[in-house]
Amino acid sequence: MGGIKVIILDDNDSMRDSISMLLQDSADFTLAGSYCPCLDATENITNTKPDVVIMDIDMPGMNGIEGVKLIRKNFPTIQILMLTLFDDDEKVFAAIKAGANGYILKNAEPQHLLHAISEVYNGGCAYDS
Amino acid sequence: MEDSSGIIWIGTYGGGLNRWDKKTNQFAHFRNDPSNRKTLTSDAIHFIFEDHHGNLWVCNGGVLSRLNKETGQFTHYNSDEANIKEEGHKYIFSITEDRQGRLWLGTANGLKSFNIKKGKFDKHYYHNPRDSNGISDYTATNVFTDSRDNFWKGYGSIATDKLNKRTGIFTHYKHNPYDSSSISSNIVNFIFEDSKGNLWLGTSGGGLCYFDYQKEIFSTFTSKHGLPGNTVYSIVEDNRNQLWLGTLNRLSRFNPATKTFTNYDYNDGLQSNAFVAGDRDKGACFKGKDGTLYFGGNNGFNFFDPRQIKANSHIAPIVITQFKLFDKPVKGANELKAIVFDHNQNFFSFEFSSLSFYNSAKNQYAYKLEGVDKDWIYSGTRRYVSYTNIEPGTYTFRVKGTNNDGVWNEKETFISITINPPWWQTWWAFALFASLFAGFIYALFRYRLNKIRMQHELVIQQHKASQIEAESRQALLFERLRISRELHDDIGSTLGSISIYSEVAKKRTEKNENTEEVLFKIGLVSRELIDKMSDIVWSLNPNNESFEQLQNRIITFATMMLAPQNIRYHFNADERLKERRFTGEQLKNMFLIYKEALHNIVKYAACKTVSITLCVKNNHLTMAIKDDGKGFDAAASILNNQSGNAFPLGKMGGAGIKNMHERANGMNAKLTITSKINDGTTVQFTLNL
Repeated sequence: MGGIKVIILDDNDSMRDSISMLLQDSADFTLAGSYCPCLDATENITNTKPDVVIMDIDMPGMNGIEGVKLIRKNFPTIQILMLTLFDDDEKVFAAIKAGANGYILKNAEPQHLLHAISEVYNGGCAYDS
Repeated sequence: MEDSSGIIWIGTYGGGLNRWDKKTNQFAHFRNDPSNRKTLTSDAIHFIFEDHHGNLWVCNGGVLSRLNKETGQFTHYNSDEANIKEEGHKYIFSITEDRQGRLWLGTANGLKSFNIKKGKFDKHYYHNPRDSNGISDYTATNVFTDSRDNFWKGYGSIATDKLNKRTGIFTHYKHNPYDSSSISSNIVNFIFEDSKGNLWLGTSGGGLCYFDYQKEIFSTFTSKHGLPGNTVYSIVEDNRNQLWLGTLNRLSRFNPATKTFTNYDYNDGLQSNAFVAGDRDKGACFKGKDGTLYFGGNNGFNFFDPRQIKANSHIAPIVITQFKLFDKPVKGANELKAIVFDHNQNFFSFEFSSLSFYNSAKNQYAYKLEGVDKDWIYSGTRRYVSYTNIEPGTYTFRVKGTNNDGVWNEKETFISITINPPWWQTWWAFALFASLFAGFIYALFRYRLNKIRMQHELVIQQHKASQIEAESRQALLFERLRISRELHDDIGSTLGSISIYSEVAKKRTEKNENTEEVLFKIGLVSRELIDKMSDIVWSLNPNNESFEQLQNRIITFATMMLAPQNIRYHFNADERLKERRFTGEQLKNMFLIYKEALHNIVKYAACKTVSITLCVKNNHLTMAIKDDGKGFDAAASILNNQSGNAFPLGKMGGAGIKNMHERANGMNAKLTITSKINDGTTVQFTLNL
């Protein structure tokens, strides 16, 4: 299987499941794993070696910002795309500062989500528009 | 005066000079004969003096006259060198002789000295008001030379002077009413030095005065000490060193050793009680060579041998003869030893008497009300005393007296007087006042304390109210955060996933792939979403905050879930729970735990009966959901692992148990699941109330 290797870190079961199905149905992407929550994110990444990490900004336990810091510290080359419900959330700005490569709203059109993954993979910054 | 040859010379005021030969009892008279210059110039004689040559000098009005005792003729020396016109100012009142044999004359116009050998006046001191070193006054009524060669002068009103003849400076002694060691009067009638060299002054109004040469201070004896009057005109000492005093009111004998007086009056055979004569109030006295004393007065003269005067040594008892209250006699009170009065009976008087009847008019008295009078009060012959406005207290009235010869009966008669205080000054009244005052202070203290306490309580209440308000604000904030989080996590994310599922379904339709799975998931998450919405909305409704609402929902849900499966259930709830209030979140979480447990029972338990019990014990709420189903091996399952990492009961069941633990942890409650194969499962939730 080719394409962009992606893992999903989210605490919402159906969100994780639906994104997984979307990625599995797209030839350009490979789902390397989906996990909840992101306490073991370092281990998950080490095991799956993804290109892009899709990560919910609000999660119980370690929040998204801390997760970004942790991933960025250990895997400087990995691209991180934040999932958020609201784009005026100040957490978005904090996540970008912490090293996230972009963010996408949960209510964005699914095609935009895929596009955003591609963008961050290709070194661009994905910002919801 | 008795001269060196034993002849007595008597000067009179208006009767000329008299010569009395005591041996023959013959009198010779020398009077003024205007036709004969060798006679007296006036019949008024102020003073007679014999100098150490034996010359007899007479102060005869304005002239000094010398009598030739052989011829009976007078030689006159006019002192009027100051050319004074007014007759009265020429008068010569007194003569003294100093150690140099010079005569000194006290006159109505100062002091003059007379040289006997030359028969001339040689010195004259006039009064100059601006010269403080000069003499004090115009009129020197008497002059005296003491054994220390001091020259003394007594005046009418200003002071008494002592002249230092070497310097010519006069020292002035003036009466100071505020200094008891000053001279007792400015009017000195007589100056006398006793055989021991003590100087005594007879004064007007100031009694007898003693001068201490060393300290230059005076001591005074007055009627307080028994002197019959405070005006002394003449002093002479008898051979037993007793001083005899001619006063305005009787003759008195003073014992300088005991400092006591014995008084004699008209009744004792004296010429009168006044020992004074002339327009300048001159006294006259003299001691003869045989010790006889001579005293002149306004009604003649007395002479007596003081050795023959025997004192009445009888010590007379003193009695209180009458006691008066408000000037009314109180019968029998004088015989009591103690009298008690009320506080307003404080005007009273005593009458007392010496039981010496020889000459009772001469009995003297002294009394003292101890507590009021600091010292004995010598009342002379007065036999009564009154006291007014005496403060409440206990006093002792003491009285003592003399016989007619001034012999004191030192054994006092006394009577104790108690004046009771008014009730408001008694000890119990003071105790009452003190306790009332203390009570007032205590009441004030309590009032202040209460006020402070009330203020403090008010502050605490305000603080509590604001704390409660802050807590309720905080609770509201938490509630809003909870709702926001739930909407965000559950509704937002789930709706997002439906959007993605539908995209997947769309793509699969386009590729003609099977869409059943994804459409089922859309349906499933939508129903879950409705459930979550229902729970959130239920917990937001303020009507659902009572336990009763939770109870109703539990029963409804049990009916809805269990009845279609033919599972019976028993529900038991402690009535006391209805009195409790719970937060919306607590009720919601409890219901969701219950709901999860019921879901698991329906899915996995294969039971016939479920019992649901809610009870309160030791301030703990316990909710137990027990089934009689097939159970499972709890030891092999990590059912109670709160981290919820592994759930071998299958995906949904495991996630459900995980959720139950998370909800219990979130509200600090305890969740335990116990199960045995073929022996059912019990889910027990315990919350601290």
